[in-house]
Amino acid sequence: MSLLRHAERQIANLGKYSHLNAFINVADHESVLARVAASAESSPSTDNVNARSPFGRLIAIKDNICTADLPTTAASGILKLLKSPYDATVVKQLREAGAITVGKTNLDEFGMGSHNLHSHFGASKLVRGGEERSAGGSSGGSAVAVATGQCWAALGTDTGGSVRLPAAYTRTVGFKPSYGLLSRWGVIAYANSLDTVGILGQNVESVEGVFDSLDFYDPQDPTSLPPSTRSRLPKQGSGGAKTLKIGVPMDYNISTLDATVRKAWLRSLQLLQARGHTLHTVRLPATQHALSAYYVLAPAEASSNLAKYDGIRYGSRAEGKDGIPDSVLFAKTRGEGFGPEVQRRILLGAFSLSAQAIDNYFIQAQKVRRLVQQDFDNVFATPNPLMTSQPEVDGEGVDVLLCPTAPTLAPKLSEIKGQQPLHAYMNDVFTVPASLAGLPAISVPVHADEGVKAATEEASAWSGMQIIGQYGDDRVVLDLAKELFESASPGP
Amino acid sequence: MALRRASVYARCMSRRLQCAAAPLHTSTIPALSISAISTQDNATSVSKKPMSLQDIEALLNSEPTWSVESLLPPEKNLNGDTSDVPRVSAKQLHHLLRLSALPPPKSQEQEAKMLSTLSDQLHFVGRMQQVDTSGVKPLRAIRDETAAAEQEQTITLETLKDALSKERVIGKHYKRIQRDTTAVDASNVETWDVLGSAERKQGKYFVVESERPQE
Repeated sequence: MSLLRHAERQIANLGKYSHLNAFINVADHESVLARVAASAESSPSTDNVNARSPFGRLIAIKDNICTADLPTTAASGILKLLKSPYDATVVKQLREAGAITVGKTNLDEFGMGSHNLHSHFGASKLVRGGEERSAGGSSGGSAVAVATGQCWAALGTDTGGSVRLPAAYTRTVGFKPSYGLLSRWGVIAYANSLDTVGILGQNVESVEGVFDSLDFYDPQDPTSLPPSTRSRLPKQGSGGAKTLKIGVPMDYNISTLDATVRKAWLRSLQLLQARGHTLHTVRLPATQHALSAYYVLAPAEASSNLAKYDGIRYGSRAEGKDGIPDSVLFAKTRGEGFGPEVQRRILLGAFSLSAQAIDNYFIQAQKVRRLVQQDFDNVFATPNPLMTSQPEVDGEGVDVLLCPTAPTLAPKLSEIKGQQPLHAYMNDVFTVPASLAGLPAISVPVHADEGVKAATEEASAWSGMQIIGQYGDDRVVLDLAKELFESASPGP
Repeated sequence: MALRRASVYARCMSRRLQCAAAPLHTSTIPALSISAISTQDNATSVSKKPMSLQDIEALLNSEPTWSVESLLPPEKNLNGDTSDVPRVSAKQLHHLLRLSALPPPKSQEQEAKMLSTLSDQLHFVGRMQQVDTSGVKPLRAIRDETAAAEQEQTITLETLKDALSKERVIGKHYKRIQRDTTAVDASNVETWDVLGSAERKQGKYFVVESERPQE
C-alpha cells in the first residue's frame, strides 16, 4: 500500500473516531494529503516499502510539545490559545526526516494525570465492548490516535509513565528512552528532572524508526546528553541473536495485581524463555518507596516550573482586576486557568519545598531516588555508564527486567470518575521506578491467552508488558521488545 | 569575577563528589537494607541459576511482596481526622496558596476539602520518610557523574580561550581590560516580537489591572 493510501485511511479515521477526542487541534486535511503526495512523488523508491522510516508518514504530536503551525495548549485553560513561535527540536527533527504532523493530541493538563480525565478540552478515551474506558494518561490522546489508526506514530512525553501507561491501556507500543537522549527544547516542562519525550506506535519498528530520527545531542537543551557521554554508551543492541538474562522483579508482584495481567506476565516470560533467554528472579526493595518519592519530586518541580504562568507575556488571562487585597497578583488568572489537579500538585509541591518541610520531604525524596537507582545498578550486568563507583553485582546480573506496565487493564471510566485523586496515583507504581532512575523502558501489548485472533473483540484483555534496561541500553530494550511483540502477536 | 566563581564552583563540586563517594561505597549494604520496614529477607538479590517457569509461576502466584494500598491513608473517623497524618493548619494553607499565587478558598467547605486533600497526599508520600538514607547522596538530576565527565565539564582557561581572546589590556599606568566591542549579529533573536503573544497590551506595554493593597 502506498504512502498516500495509508495517509488517506488515517485522515478518514480522524473523522470516524472524532468522538474519542484524541486530538485538540488537527492540521488541514487537504494540505496534509498534498504534502504526502509530494513526498511520495519526490522519492518513489521509499514509497510503500519502509516500515521504520517516518518519511511521508503522519505523526501526531502531544499538545505539550511546541509546533509553529498549530497551537500548543498543554490541555490547560491558561494556554488554550497559545501559538508557539517555533517548533520543538523533536518536531523539527521529524520534519527534517520527512514526517508530516497531522495534529496535536489530548493529554492530562501539563502531563499531570493517569487517565486523561484532567484536560481543559474534555477527556480522551477508549471504547471497548461498548464501554468507555480510560485511555491512560497523560499521553492518552497520542495512544488513542495510534490505536485507532489516526496516524502512523505519535510523540508523547513520559515523566512517571505517561507514555507507557496509555500504551498498556490501548494495546499500543510505548517507549520512554533513557533520560537525556531526546531533546526537551520546546517541550513544556512538568518535572524537568524526569520529563522525557517518548514514542507511541502500532509496532516496535515504527517506534524505533522515530527514535532513530530523534536520538541526537541538542545544544539548546542543557539536559541533553553531551556527545562525549553518548560516545560511551553501547551502540548496538542484541540484534535478537544473543541470549539474554531476563530479571523478574518480585517487588512488582503486588497484592492488587490483576489476575489477567499476572497471566500475561507469565505468558511473556514463557515466550521469551522459549526463544532461548533465561529467567532470574530479582529483588528491587526500593520499589516500595519509589511512588512516594515520585509524588514528592514531581509536584515540587511542577510548582516551580508552573510559577511562570501569569498570562502576561503569553497565555490567557482572567477577566477584570487581578490582584486585590485578599488575593495575591495573578492568583485569579492562575485559579481560573489551571484545572483542579494541577492546583493540587502545585500546592503539594509548595509544601514540600517550604522551609519547614524541604529536608524531610524534597531532599529525602531525592535520597530515596538515589536508592532506586542503586537498586537497578545492583541487578544489571552492565554497569551504569553515568556512575563511577559501581556496586559489586553479586555473581552476574541480568540484562533486562520484565514486568507489567500497569497493575490492571484499562479501567472503565464509570469506575474511576468519582475516585479520590490518590487512587489514580497508584496506577504509576510500575512505571515510576524507571523514570526516577532515567532508564529506558518500553511497554509491549501481550494477551494473557494464546491464539487470540487480532480481530476479535477480546481486545480488552491485552496487558502492557514493560521491558526495562540499564541506562543507555535503549537498543537492547528495543530488540527484546521486537522479539516479545513478534512472539505475542496472533498469527495471521 | 563571574568566571572565577564558576571555576571555584566546579572545583567544589568535584571535591564534594569525592567525599560523598567514600561513604556511599561502604554504605551499599545498609542503604539497601531498608528492609527494616519491608518484608523481604535478602535485599537486592539476583537468582544465580536460571529459574524454571514453574518456579517463577509458583512464586508469583503465592504471596505478593507488598500492597500499594498500604500507602493510602486509613479510613477517616467521624471527625474527619486520621491519627498519623501530618497536620496542616488553615493558616499554613493560606500561606502555601499565597506562595503558589493561587486564590484562597471560597468557602469553609472548600477550605476543609483542600486541607483534607493535602493531608491525604502527605500521608501517601510520607512512606518514604521511614527509609534510612543516612550517607546517601541525593539524586538531583540524571546526568553523567563519572570522573571523565567531571573533567570535561570543568571550566578551564582553555574553555574560555575564545572569550578571553576578545579582551585586550589598555592603559599604561592604570591597566584595565576592555572588551571587544565589535557588534555581534543577533538579528535571529532580536527579531522576536516580545508583545506578539500577549493578550492585553497597550502600545509597547503589557497591561496588568490590579488594586493597590490597602495601607
